Amino acid sequence: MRYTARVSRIFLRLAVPVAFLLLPLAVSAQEIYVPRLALDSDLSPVIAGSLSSADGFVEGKGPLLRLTYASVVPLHMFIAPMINATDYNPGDMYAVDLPAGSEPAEIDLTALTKWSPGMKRYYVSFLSGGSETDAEIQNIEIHGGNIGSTIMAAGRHLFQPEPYWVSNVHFLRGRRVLGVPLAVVGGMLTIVLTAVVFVWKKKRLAPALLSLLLCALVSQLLMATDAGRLAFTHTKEWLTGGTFAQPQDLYLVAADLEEAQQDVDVPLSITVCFDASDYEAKLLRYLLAPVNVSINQTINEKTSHIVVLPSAKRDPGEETETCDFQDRVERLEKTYPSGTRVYALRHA
Amino acid sequence: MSMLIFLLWLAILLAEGWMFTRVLLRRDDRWLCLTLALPMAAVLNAVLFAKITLVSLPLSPLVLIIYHLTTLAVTAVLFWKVRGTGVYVPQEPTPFLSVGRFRALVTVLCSVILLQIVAFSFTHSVIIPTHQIDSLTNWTMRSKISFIDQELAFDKTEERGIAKPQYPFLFHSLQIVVNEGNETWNDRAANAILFLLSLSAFAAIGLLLARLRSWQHGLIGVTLIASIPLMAYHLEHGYGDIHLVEYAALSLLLLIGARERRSVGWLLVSGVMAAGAAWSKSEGLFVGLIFWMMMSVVLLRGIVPAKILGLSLAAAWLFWLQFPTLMYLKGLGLTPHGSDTALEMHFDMLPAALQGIFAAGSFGMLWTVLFVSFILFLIGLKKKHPGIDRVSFATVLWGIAVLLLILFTYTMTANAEFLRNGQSFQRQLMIPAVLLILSLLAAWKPRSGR
Repeated sequence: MRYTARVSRIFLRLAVPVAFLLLPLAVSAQEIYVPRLALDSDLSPVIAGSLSSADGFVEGKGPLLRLTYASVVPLHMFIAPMINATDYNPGDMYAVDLPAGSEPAEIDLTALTKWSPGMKRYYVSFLSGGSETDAEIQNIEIHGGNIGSTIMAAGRHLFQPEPYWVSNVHFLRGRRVLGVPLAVVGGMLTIVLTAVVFVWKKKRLAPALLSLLLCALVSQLLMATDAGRLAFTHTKEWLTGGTFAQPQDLYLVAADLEEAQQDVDVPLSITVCFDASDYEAKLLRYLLAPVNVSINQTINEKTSHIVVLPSAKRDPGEETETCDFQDRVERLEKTYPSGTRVYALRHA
Repeated sequence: MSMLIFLLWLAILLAEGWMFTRVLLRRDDRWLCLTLALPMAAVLNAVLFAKITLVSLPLSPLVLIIYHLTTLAVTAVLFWKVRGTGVYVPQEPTPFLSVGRFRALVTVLCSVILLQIVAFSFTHSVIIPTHQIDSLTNWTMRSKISFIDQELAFDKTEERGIAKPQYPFLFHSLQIVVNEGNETWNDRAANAILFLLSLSAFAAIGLLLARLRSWQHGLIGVTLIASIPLMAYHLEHGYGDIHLVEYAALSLLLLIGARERRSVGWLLVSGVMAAGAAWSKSEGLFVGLIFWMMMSVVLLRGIVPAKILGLSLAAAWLFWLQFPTLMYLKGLGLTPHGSDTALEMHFDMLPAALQGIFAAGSFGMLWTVLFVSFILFLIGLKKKHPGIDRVSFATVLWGIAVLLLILFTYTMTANAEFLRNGQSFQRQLMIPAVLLILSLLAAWKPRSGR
């Protein structure tokens, strides 16, 4: 009973400040769009399908970007903080899907890990799927902000998972809190804490080493939680749909093509068409080896199939297509949920 | 059927590695031998692959089974001839922490971290198929092509997507051998054996620390290493870096054990593990085998007779020399990057290097923790702290030497390009980070909570 009472007391003590911090969000009745990291999902179909665009810069101080626009088609907005007057890091690019209409929209800039409460300059770009659009950006400004929203943003950044890309096991960019790398913030705090413990415990080594160890373990617990989350989500995706993350449904494409190979005596020869990273093409080449899979986007007299990835432009025959199909398409074999299409070719 | 073939090869490899390790350790500590069995068998398997390639035999199931059964038979004969106690005599344990409540907290934290990392590693290497970019080109792809060709692929052009003929092939040979007997390439078997190799290596690292110091040391060591953020992602498998790090870590701990037990057996196993580092990746020759040899001389000179020390060092090289011989006969160099040794000044890359060490996400704040720990150990040494083992502390030289070599390579050679584009600098930093963690942990032998 005593234990339960103590837990209840702690909970009540914590509940009041937490509720106070959440108050600014609760009173904000307007719908707020939360940007997502562009590289976290495959946006190549959006980019490949865009027919008109506009871009520019916006500068200001605050956690919210207010946008007044009017468009008859949905707009894809991209936003990235500038690292100097002319450059931004593509890894910092975030995406927001805006619906058709003429309502003002609020965009939560604190979702950007490089957001900080000071003055910031952002690159902003709008893409539209319509070749002739009446889209009009009437007003764009950065506003809002108080100590509560800054603390909320810091907490959110602390627990925002490290982005995971299968093609990026060379290095990790790391979490940032209010634009500052967590490794630096945590490292400084660790040094201060250890120094305090060392002096306080009369220069004994064991307590100082223990404080170092605990800091390291707490920091690495954050990363391990990312790994645990990925273990769950990727396994669930794989076991339920036979696909996951960046590879999407390419394993299904490869399985179908392997089956097609079993039905014929002549070895298949496949060309992959794409207009972005060659990761997907290389994955297909591995999965289908020893079948010849060309990733240089050219077809020859032996090519039997073409796999058109979602990033590739248009359908065969159109002027802006990525690969030259040489009018040899016999039939569309299959269109996959990701938008990947497999075509069978006539013999040259 | 694939599963049965996989289990059969796994049994052969484990038996071979277990008996060979027990022969070298004179039947000391059967649990340690069991955890070292797969890392040992992987080195023996790579050596076999080199020999088969040298005599131009095909990598067929028949050839491989004959070679492995012969090795198994010879090892078994040696095993029965070697006398030993067969019983591990424990040293007096020196717990990392003497304060009970912190001990429980640390144990819980380590367990929660490890559980998630193991789940991530298992799901991404055994359940989910190959997906990492370099696996699709230089690593698992080369294994698959070699399996199909029935000979190691030494492609010099990108025609088939693999143009790294100089890559050492411990990784490839292990993936290929568990597929022998299958009609087609089994991706899951190929990745599962690498997962088991890492699992064995980490179990051996934990057990070695437990044997040399305490179970707490083992748990903390394995957790700190496995949860280095970049390391955890590499435990998906598909790159050689992770195995290079594992072999270097094993050879360091076995070397410390060889010094403390005055055991030639431990030195020999340590040497094979150092050779394993060189078989895992090209840089393993320098940061593994050569630095291991230098550290062995530093630690064991005067402890082990010079002649025996020399022979032990030579024995380690015998487990690797097949590789340069093969490369020479193929007309290939030892590194895929011809620019590795050309001196070019890139001091402008130092800030980027420091940022990679202290500010990026690959290591979180681990390097800061290592740096502060190192300072504290130096203060302790100056005050003649009884909880610091000076000999084990001396092994930080290995980690520091690797760190300096990496910094030199990326700021004073054309490899600066790979720091600029972020390709390999932080991956290579995993090696000194792990070596320093282990050296500092092994050096901490408190008798009380001082």
